[in-house]
Amino acid sequence: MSIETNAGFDQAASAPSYGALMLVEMQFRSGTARLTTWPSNVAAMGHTWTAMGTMGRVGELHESEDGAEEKLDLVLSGVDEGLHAAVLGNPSDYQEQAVSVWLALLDAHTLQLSGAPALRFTGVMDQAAISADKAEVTMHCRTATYDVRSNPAALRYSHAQHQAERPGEMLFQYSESLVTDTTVWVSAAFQRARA
Amino acid sequence: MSIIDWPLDLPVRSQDFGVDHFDLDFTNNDTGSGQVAILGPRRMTCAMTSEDAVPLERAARWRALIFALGGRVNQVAIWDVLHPVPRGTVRGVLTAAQPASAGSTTLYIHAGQAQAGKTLLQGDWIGVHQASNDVSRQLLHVQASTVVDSQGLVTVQIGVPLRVALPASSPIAWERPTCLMRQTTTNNKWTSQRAGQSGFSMDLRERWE
Repeated sequence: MSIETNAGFDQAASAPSYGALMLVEMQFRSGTARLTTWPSNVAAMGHTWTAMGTMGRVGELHESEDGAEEKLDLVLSGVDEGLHAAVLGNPSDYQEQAVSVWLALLDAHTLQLSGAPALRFTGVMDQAAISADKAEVTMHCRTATYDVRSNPAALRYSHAQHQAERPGEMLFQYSESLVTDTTVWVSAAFQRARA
Repeated sequence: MSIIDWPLDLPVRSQDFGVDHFDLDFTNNDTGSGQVAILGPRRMTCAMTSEDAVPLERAARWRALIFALGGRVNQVAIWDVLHPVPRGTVRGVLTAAQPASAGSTTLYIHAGQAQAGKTLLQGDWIGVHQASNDVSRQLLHVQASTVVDSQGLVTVQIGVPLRVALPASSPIAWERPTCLMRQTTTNNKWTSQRAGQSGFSMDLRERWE
């Protein structure tokens, strides 16, 4: 994804030294958690972002051009018990729920934000994995896109497309409903009655 | 979790102060050019070591501290045992003359007109957010000698930016200012020899979480 930066961000990025932190927003059904990798709470974008402490981290960001989903691991540990409970609770509370990650740069002398944070990842939460020996909870996240080349359903020719090319030709009129609508067979008794 | 004050009467042989930096350095091996990314604020470190052959009743104080800390559960408030009060002459009640935002490296302090001409010298320690239950407390190093002016105000350059904003009129400590630390090791041990005990030590790092 392209990254939109701003003057303050660019100024810090071009300095000989700068501070860097990540802001993570996880929109659980039961509420939104806002976390930062910085070891103390950060005020940014109108919210307070809770420090994950030294044991929480954002995994490597991967990008590819083949349209495949991008994955990101968020490692949570040393965070508040409420967040642990959310991650370890009912999967419906987090699966397919939105997650966003921003990169923020800081002035090296004051350790305060320089410019606005840059959005780096948007996707959804997928699965939570628990590592007992490291006392870590890893939230696997992925982008909400999917690879159309391995999902041919997205490439099916539609009635609307056909109408654009061949107005009045109704060959694809029911193609969408054939795929998406549930078909109920009439009962044997009904068929006998009609006969 | 609770905050434990470092006992005044503990037999300490040495205190090794230090600062941990959490930086990533990217350097081009061909050109030598580089860039530093800071991933967290600096943290004070400290190692405390007991005197040798400490008599039992004084060794008991070390053991009591070790058990009170509970490993890495509780925090201990550490000050510079060799430099508990400023070498400068300023004393009395110090308060913030102006609010200071997080990230500030300059503090404007009201010392009172009665202290005009008194000093804070380079290397003196002052402390902010020093209330007994305040986990925001920070130990600040005076970077340059300074003098209280005729209005009772003194401007102080500090070595580490303020981690938490300081409201106006907040008290500023000069007598045994502290920062909060936790142990970095998972064991404590000591040696009984002849009539005394030796080898008490603690490796500590600043922890405000």
